Amino acid sequence: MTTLKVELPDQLREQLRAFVAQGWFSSENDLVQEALRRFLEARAPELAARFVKEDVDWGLKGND
Amino acid sequence: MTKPVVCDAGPLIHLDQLDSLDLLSDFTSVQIPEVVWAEILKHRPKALPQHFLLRPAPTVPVDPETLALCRGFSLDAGEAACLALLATQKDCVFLTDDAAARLVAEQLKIEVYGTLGLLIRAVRKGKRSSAQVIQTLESLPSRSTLFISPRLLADVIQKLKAEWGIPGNS
Repeated sequence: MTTLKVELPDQLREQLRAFVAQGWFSSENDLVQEALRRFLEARAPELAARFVKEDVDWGLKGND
Repeated sequence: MTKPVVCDAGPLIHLDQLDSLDLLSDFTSVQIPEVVWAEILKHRPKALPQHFLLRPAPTVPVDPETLALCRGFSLDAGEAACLALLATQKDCVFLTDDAAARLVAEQLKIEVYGTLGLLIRAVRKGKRSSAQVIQTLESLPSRSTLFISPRLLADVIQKLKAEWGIPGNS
């Protein structure tokens, strides 16, 4: 495990705290890890490649 | 018959950077949520007001399902506004260059494409020659903020050259 030190705007920090206080996550650490994991999953290189392929296919052979 | 489209900030900015906003002109309509319009005016202040085809669309409230997905995928206000607008219309295409927004659109069963598709489509629609589009794609890293990995872009250019019968490697 690696520890990262990140600066957060106050409002974002408050939102983090509220989510944990409401019981959605057991700690701010878990919430940040989950948020980061989701962010990276949604921007994975293989996903970018799939979207590029869909664009190329539509551009070349779309029926619009 | 072309379909109407809802356009996020990415394709508008990227097409403007590539002097290619006219590629949107043959869609039945191009709807741009007000929040996206404001974003464009901030980043590309000269782009939209000069383009007679484009006008801001009124803001539509985001339904709970879409809102949950937008939050789950950390979409910004512009992307959420586009998806909210799309949820009110049938058979409308979403134009975005954001991967997370594309994922959410897929989950909502919305047809979605990006700037790359629009550029390639221009050949099929007779708006650009294949050589022009290849030239635009080759200049993309220096002229546009659209991110596509160099290797992926080279693969696309090679595939298009083969498809269009243009000699030479990228």
